[in-house]
Amino acid sequence: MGQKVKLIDVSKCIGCRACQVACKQWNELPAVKTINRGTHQNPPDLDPNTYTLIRFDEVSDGNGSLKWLMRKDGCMHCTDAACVMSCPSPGALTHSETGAVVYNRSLCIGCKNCVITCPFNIPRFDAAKEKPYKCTLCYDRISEGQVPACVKTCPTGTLTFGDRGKMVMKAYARAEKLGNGTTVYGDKFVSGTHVMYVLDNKTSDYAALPENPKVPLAVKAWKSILKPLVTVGIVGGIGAALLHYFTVGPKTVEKFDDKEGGE
Amino acid sequence: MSGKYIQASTAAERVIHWVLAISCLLLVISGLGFMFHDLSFIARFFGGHYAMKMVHEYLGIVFGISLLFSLFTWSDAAKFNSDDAAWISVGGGYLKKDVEIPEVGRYNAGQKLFFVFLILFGGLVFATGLAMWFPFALPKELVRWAYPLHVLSLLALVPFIVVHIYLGSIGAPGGIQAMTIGYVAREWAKKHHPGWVKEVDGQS
Repeated sequence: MGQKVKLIDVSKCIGCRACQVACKQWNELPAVKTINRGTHQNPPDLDPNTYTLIRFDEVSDGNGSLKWLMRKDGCMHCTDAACVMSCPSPGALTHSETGAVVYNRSLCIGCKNCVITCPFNIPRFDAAKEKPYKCTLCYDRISEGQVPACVKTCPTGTLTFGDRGKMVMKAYARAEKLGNGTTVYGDKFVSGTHVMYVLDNKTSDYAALPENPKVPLAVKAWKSILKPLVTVGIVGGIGAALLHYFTVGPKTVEKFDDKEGGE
Repeated sequence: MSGKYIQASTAAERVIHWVLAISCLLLVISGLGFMFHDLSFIARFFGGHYAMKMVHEYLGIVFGISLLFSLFTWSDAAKFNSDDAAWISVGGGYLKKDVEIPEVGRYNAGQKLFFVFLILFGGLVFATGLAMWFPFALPKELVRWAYPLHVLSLLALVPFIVVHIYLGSIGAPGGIQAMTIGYVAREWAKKHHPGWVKEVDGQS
């Protein structure tokens, strides 16, 4: 099927949050009662029932006026995914053939490693169900040739979905057209994400969006250095003990007779 | 039992040793089942990965408690003395036959070193394990380092555990009785721990 990317062109987003609703509908997630906190950002954060969320940020435009930024937040579907690397249960977090990070709740053991290691702070732990939840890039739709539910519903063309190469080119063409410091986000780190942005403001203007996300150093030390050394330690240790036994030999007591006792 | 045999351990010491040993081994085996997906067949013996997680967590508590008991039980006997450096420099007489070995007391320098490593890295593996079990109680950056430190502790302990099992069984025949029936043959003790035999005879 090839690598697929969901492109989020925030310059076209009107903050209607239809994607949020479509996500809930497709994934059969219940609505949550919230309160008016003086912002359109609602619910306030991602949670086990909310895989995607429009974040609203207010930044000064430098001329005494305000810019209202809208960004759809959710799983970035990293190629080098810290969550997949740190998952101890085979099959619970895997890459699909399109590169999406798919979560299988029936194989998940609720260890919380993915919640801790994700550089984008995406998976949220449901304490009641003792499992984390996140976007699967609508694996069940994509595998049937459909686009993700959020893309299907987006009325402005902010969300588009397609082959990775084409989407990267589309993102750069759009960034060039907009100019004014518009950037493409998602192709330069963790070997590329399968959700990308066209950002028409500085990355740092968007709350909760890391400027230089990477697989945490601790995870690399854990999986790339220490894990192979454990194999060396165990195999080497047992090998050395056996080698000792068959070369130098065990340390025995001469003229030792258990029945007769000593001299 | 007094003439031909010497008491090497009390019943309490043996219980602590085996609770620590069995919990430790099961933790290592289940831990390997988590870390290496190629070894996921290990999970079958524990009833699947979820059950293995539960076993790993609660057995960790058993390990931690028995480690604490070990600390109080053996910390005096594991104090290093002047002969220990010399013992280590000749490899305890295990690497070559017929070398001059300094007089060994109740525990040799290798056993003492194992004890120190067990307390330090056993403590670290317990603390980092708790952090992994309850990650939301601590800052994320800190918990991220708990994973590699957990494996580092394993790495520090595994060679000692392998050597300990080897020398406690086929590597030095006659010694395992110290932790089974609690008595070792006097002749065996004279060869491996002459200073200890003198100490015991001096007391009686």
